[in-house]
Amino acid sequence: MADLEAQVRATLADRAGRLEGPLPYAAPPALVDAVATRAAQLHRRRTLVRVGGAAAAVAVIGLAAATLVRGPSVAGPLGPAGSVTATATATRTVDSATATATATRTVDSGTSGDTSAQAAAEDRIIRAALAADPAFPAGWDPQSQAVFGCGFYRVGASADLTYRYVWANCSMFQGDTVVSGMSVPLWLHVRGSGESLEVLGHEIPGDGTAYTADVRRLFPADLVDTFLGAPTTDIVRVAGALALRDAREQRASAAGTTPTAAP
Amino acid sequence: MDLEGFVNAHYAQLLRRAYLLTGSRADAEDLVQEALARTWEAARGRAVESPGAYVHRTMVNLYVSRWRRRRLRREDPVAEIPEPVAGGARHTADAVGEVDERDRLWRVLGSLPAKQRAVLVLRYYEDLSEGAAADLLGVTVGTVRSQTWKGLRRLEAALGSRVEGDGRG
Repeated sequence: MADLEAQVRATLADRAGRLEGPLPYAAPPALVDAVATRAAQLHRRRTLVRVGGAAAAVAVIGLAAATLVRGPSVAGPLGPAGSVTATATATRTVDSATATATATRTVDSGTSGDTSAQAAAEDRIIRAALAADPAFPAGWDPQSQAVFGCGFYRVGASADLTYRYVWANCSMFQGDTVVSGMSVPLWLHVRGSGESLEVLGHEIPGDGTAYTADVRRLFPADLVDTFLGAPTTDIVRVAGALALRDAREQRASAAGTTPTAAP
Repeated sequence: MDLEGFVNAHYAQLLRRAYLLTGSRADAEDLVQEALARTWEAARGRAVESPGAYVHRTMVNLYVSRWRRRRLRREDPVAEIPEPVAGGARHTADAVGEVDERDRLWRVLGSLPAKQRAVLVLRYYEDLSEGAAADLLGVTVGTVRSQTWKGLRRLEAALGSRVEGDGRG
């Protein structure tokens, strides 16, 4: 074994030495800039994660409280053509909404001044725009009696708020059951804000091999990892809970009642 | 220290270490850049004791976690084909054989799991004690010992070397 250890030492030293050419090996000038850029990205992402973590914590607390009231949840993954029972409770939904509103204000702080009412108004306008797009579930089965509910988790926006970057859950609900739906990153081109928001354009990444490339094309570099990693985070669950709340509110509004919490 | 000073102070040493870990110049440069950025970001607004040690630790742990599944490594560029040893011995069969052996060992090192390779680099290139390597990797001394043993056994099996003793001590 000693021979082998000596061989390993010699090999490693030999290989390390090959990186030292006749010229002193200094850091390439562009590296400093690259490190600075990457460090700034990490800092922004850490801020986002901290905000998202707080939102998730509130959502988890809500879920735990709801579980105590109603028993364990059996919610499953949301697929574009699946039939999944959405069992998020009103308690969870309300808390998730609060969490999201908090996250939105923090993420957009200094650029938005969003209020919950403004955000709710914007959500309705965005939902209406998406409902007209046959790519979204409302267009999959226009004759359906199901309610088209959307939840938007605001991940970021351009400095002038012209472009919004959100995780969207848009689903067709029969009762609290999702009969079809999609949970996707959404790029929005908008004008105005609040009640006067106008959706000028929107796009979602393509499926399969196009997905990652489209995410990189549509979203700022410092948000790409957030979107690519979102399916493993609470962003998706919060958006789903908000979609359910939206569907309940639409039903309640149509019936002239207020949405009720969990029975 | 400003960022430029920090980068220049650590870059060359980190790059050599990263190259031994990843086996690829391109991967090494990526790894060093990420480790430097993470360290610089971590130091934002607070003092990091011994930034050199911090960035080294960050880099090794990034390597272990990130490169763990990247077993199919990129081939080294042609420029890194082993060159004959210098001096009059370059044409002797022994010298050529030694180079061949190192080249084979280098390739086998590249096939080891990330943690085993990291342990071997820390122990046999950086001459860290088992305790120091364990501290840097955030594992126990026993893990360092077992990973060293497993790594050497795999090298031995691949190279057909003869083992004298079990090397567990």
